[in-house]
Order: sequence, then C-alpha cells, then structure tokens
Amino acid sequence: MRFLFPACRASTSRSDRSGAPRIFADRIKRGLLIALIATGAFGNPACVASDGGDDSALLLSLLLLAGNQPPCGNPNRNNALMTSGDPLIGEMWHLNNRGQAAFASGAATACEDINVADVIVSGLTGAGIVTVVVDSGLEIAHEDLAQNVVAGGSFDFVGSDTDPTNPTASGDHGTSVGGLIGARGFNGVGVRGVAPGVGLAGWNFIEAQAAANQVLSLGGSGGATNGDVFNMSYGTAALAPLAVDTTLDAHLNGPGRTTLRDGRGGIFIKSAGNGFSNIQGLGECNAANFIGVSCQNANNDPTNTAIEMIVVGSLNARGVKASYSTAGSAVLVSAPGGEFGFNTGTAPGLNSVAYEPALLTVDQTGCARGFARTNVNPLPSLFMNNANGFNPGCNFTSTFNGTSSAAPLTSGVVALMLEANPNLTWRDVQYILATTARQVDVNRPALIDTTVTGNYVSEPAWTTNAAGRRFHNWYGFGAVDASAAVNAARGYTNFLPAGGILSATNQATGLSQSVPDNTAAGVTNSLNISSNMMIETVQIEVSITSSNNTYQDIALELVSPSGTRSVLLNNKNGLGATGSMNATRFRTNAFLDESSIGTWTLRVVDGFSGAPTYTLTAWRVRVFGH
Amino acid sequence: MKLYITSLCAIIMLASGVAAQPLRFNDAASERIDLPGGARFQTGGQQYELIPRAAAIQTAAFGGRLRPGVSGPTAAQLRAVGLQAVRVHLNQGSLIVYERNTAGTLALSLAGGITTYPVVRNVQTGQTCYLSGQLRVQLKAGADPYAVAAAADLKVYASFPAINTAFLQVPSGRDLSQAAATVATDNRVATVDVEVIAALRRTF
Repeated sequence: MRFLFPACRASTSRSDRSGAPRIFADRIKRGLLIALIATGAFGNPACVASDGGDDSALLLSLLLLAGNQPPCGNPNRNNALMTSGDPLIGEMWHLNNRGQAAFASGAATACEDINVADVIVSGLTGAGIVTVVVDSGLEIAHEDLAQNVVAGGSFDFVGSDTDPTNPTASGDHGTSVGGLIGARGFNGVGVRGVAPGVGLAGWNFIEAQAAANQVLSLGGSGGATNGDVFNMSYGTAALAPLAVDTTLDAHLNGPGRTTLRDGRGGIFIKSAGNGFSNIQGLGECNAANFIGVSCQNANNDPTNTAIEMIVVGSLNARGVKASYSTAGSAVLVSAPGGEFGFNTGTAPGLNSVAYEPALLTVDQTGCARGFARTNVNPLPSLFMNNANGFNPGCNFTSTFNGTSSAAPLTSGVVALMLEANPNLTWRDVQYILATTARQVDVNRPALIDTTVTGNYVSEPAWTTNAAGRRFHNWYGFGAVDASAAVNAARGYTNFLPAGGILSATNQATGLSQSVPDNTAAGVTNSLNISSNMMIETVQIEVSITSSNNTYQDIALELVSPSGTRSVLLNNKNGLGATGSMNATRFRTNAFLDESSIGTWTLRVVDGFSGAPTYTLTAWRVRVFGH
Repeated sequence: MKLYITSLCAIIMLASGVAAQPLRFNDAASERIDLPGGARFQTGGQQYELIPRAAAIQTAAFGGRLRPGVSGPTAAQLRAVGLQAVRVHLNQGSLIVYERNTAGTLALSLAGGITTYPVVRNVQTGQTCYLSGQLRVQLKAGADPYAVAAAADLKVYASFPAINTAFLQVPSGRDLSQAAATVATDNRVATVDVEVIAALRRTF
C-alpha cells in the first residue's frame, strides 16, 4: 500500500484512517474517482490512497487537468518522491502538510511544515553527513534505521560498547528522535526522516549523566568526532539559576568550533524546552500562566546560552507555537513538534490540545515495547496498537512530540544544507537558518502585564530590529524552511570563519542598584561597546541579589545601541526555588545584523508585587559578530 | 517528548510514595530531602554537606533500567538486590535516590554489584545534588593526565587535551574530597573539583 495523495484532512472525514471511511483508488474505481475529482467533490487535494499501481503520474496529470492545484502552490509536493516510497509518508504532516492529522482527530493546516519537498525532489538526502543523536539510546537494528546507522559510530555509556539500544520497555526517546532525523527513505518501510539518507549515530549520555560523557558525545573524542550535526533533544528543568558547565563551554568554544568538521565547526542543535506552562508541576507556573508568558525560559538552561547552540522552539500542526514550547531570546528558530496526537475515538474526554496531531516516527521494535506497546491506557489512537492495520509490528509511533521533535527536524534540515554545501561553517549554518526562516503567527500581540505599575510589556510582539530582522521570543526568527535554507546554502560563498568570530565586551561591577517593586520602569545600567561589528548574537551575564534567593519576580531586558529591545527573562517566571543569580548567563539573537557600536542598556524590572527585594550588583555584555 | 496530562514530577510522586516531600534536583526549598547533613566540603567555589543516609543509583544498574512512572522500584525491591534501602525518595529519569539504614561516606560504594553515589546538599541554596565519583581536573599546559592520575593512584576516565581537562575516576570506597585534595597538590594541576551533578538533564 502506498498513498498517492496523502492528504487525509481530518475535516474531510471520508479519509480519517483511524476508522472513518476512506477513498481507495484501485484501478477499477479510478475512472469514477477522476470524474468525482473533476466535479470538485473532494476539494483540493483529495485524500486518495493508491494500490501502488504504476499509473500514478497519469492520475496526477488528470487531477491537475481537472482543476486541482498543487498544494501550497508547489507541484513538487505531489512528486512521487514526496508521496510514496515509505508507507506512512502520507501522514507525515511535518514533511508535507496537506491537512492530515497523523491518526489524531484534531486539525492540521496545510502547508505548515518544514517545506522540504523541493529539496527531496532535487535529490538531496543528507548522504555523507553524520548526525549524532545524543539522547537516551538508539535502536541501531531497527528496520527503518539500520540502513542509515553508521557502523561502530555509536556508544553506550552504560555497557561501554557501541550499541546504545535502550532495553527499556516504555519507549526509547532517542530512537524516536533518530527516526525524525534520518529514518531511511524510499525503502518501503514505515516512516521517513527529514534527511532520509543521513548517517546516524547514538550516544546515550542521558543514561549516564557525567559531564565528561556529554563532552564525549558532542565530539570530544573517539567516534563522535566524526559527527557533523549533534542533536540534543534534552535539557534541564531548573527552578533556580544554574551555572555554566565550564568544561562543556571550553569544548564548544574550542574544538567544537575549530576541530570538528575539518575545522568548520560542529553543528549543535538543541531543544528549547517544554516548560511554557509547566516545569515541574509544583505550581511554579501559576503566575506565568496567569499573564500568559513562558514559565520556563530558554535562557534558564545554561547550555542554551552558548553561542554555538541552535536552540529550537516547537510549532503545532497549525503553524503556531505548541502549547508547551519554552520561549526565550536564546531561541533561534522553530520547527514542527506537534501536540499530543490523541484521537477521540479511542481516548475521549481530553482537553482539545490532546487531539492535535503529533509526529509519526520510529518506535522501539515490537508490540511489547515502545510508545506503541500494547495495554497503553488510554490508547491514543488505533494506529498505536495496529488496530487500523497501519502499524504492523508496532514499530512506529504517532504520538511523538515536544521540542524534542522540533530539534531533530532542524538537524535533518541542516544535514541537507551540509550535503548541499559542505563548506558551511557553524556560523554560516546559524545565519542561513535565521535569515531563511518563515515568520509565523504574524499578528501575535504583545503581552502586557497590567498588574505592574506602568503596564509592563512582559513579552513583546514580533520585533523588527534596525537591520530589518524580525524576531519573537516564542519563535526566534520563525519556522525553519528547508527549501529556502538549502537554496541559500547552495549559493553561499561568504563564509564566516569558524574560529574567527569577533567579540567585544564591557562590564559593570560593584553596583548597588535597588530594583523598585512592581514597577515597569525598573532600574537601568548602560555600557558602551566601541567596536563596530555586524552582530551575530549577544550574551550577557547578570548578578542580582535577592532577599530570599528566589528570582521569580525578575524581568531582564537588553536594549541595543539601535534601540531594539529584547526581553531575556520574563517577570513572573518559574525561578521560584532558592538559588543564586551570580554571573548568570543569558543570550539573545534579536539583534542579528545590527551594529554593535554604542550604548547597551540593561533594564531590570521587579514585575511581581511584594517580597523579595532585589539589587543589581554587576553585569557584563559580550557582543559576537563580524 | 512531552508527556500529556501527567507531568513527570507527578509521576515521580506516585512512584516514590512520598507525595508530600518528593525530591527533585533544582527544587524549591520546601522539597529538599529532609535528612540530616554530615561532613562538609568545598568544591567549585561552593560548600556542600554530605547527606549520609541518602544514596543515589543509576537506573541502568537496576533490573534493566526501570523508568519513572512505569515500574519504579520500591524500597523492598532495592533491598532485594542488596541495597539497604528504607524508602525511595526520587525516581527521575536515569537516577534513583533512596534513604538507607546506614550512614554512607563521601565515596562511591558497591552494594549488590551496584554502584551507589553520595548525595550532598549545597549549604547556601539547599539544592540537592549527587556526586558522579569523578574529579574534574584542569591541567597546566602540556601536563600528562595519565601521569597526574597515576601519581594519585587514580585512573583517567576521559581526557580532553585540547582544553587541558581530564576527568579522573575515584574508585569505590575512597573519599572523593580527600582524593581531590591529593590531586590538587600536584604541581601539574591548575584546579581540581569534585564533580557535583546539580541538574539532571531530561529528555524533552
């Protein structure tokens, strides 16, 4: 079975493969089908399954002649390479969104995907590129991964061997992440990765979380040094400021930039987090939820503030921020991560977000293990236990989601970019992703906290900086666009040296500036940068004392010499546990391509009434660019 | 992957059976492990105290990698594999923290073939952490990490010459703070810290 026109839009219930009737275009019915399409009976395009006959191209031509336009204006989305070759390709909305729901019962919006059709049709698959899945494991013998697994390229920190297959029964996160990046394509099996020919390696750092193991996994030594792209679908869930891992930082700043990829620098891609409305479920997000800002901030994980990181937020199948996606100025781009993928037919009575589509990907082999194992209650959909016949062997799941999914989709896109142009440095990759991203949710208004005196703008709307770059803390520069990014990569020659990023620093110490309670004006302090660079990214370090060692009230914002404002930490954030904000690092990408020269202003706002009290004692700004 | 309905921490509470006082790393003050502190030591510019009656193990070491919320082990199950567990405090991702009926030291220990890790508390913040059993050594330029390790009767776990850093493994039964002090006396060493795991990474 393969699906010629995989648009199984939930709203056209004729094609819901979770149990509703559907159209099956065998040769006998094909003539009737064409006639019906010509009358517009199915809209554009219809959900049509083919029996795998060899006249698909003919049918496509007839459909087009009958007045059906190519989806999203792009005929490549109907190309056989995008509609066949892998049995489940038709439900993979994140690759080719035709409105299908991936066995969930919620809605998807056509064209809200990574726009990879042109790239695949052009013949790129990620071949020759190695992506290291730094995660909980990788089932290297999986039927839809094995062909892409780099022999001997993985490592298991638990058993000290080269097979990181995770023996857990309840679903291996890393295996599913690996499937999103590089499940083998065009093999007649299961799903397809964004880069269906990329090399895959798995390093299970999550199972043995010593600092050395993370550095080893990220190309520190041994087999991982052969990696090009390093996917990190993990992070911290801290409720207090955390210190930077100095060893990891040294690795990223050193060999990570200038040794990996023959001196062009490794590409480190990381999930922003799933803490928009809930971090640890302790009520730490009540205030953030009340005003609608992100409870967890992407800057709260120090790894996200390393300038080598490509931090990725998550979009749902309608092309707006997923319900859980952690926001923050460290986010560079966003990609589909979906919601929860439940179907009302098997799991009634849940919140509406539960029914929005999740992503189809690889799962642990067999029905006794994995996310799609038997006896899961509630059963998300008929796909999960193969009750609809589309998941024989239960080797695939339709409920994978999170920024854990958004990052590997981006990793797959980067693999395609590197195949198109292997000379790109780590800086080039970031620049291309940022400048080719597609703005989404354009009319999202600013969030104004009216409980703060002076009405504090806790989360700005889309901001256009002085260089014309548009940025939003929820999305970074917007949705990853594979076609645009690969096209930019193909013609890219203005390489930014991997080891030659310029920086300029200034700092203020010995301050004692009290922050007024619950007042939008806050306190400000300014520093001058005398170097004139085109900005790539900016870090700041901030030291603030708190009378009770919590920082939930604090908002931080940085204003560039051009007057662009970037919020680095929301007031009413989730930092409700005791800790210390001592040279705590933040990052913002909002100033891309602006000039660095001039006065930089930090504003500290206490945006929550009452105790504790805060004092700004020091800060430092460091601008990176060329 | 984002879990629906039941948050990870809620699962932990159910699994541990200590809903009123669940322990997580980077937690609010009210949720710290409520056991008395012991010996104090300084590392990485922070002061910590050992929690002698607590210990940590990696889930990978126990019965085929039990996972939070699936079939998290009870204290009885831990006792069955040779650990002197009174109750389970935490079952989070790759880590289990339990209360034991004897006081431990600032050293890894081996019980029932399973390595247990010391659990400590940051004196300033109250944050609960555990020790990996490794020393993070910043070497002076050109220093040989293997020679430094040998001089302290330790082994190199990982070496990163490009950044002059090595991680040395301290064997079970040997006091981590004292081992760090020994390495610190080596004139080929710039700094040495006992590795403190304060923030568990979780998959998203």
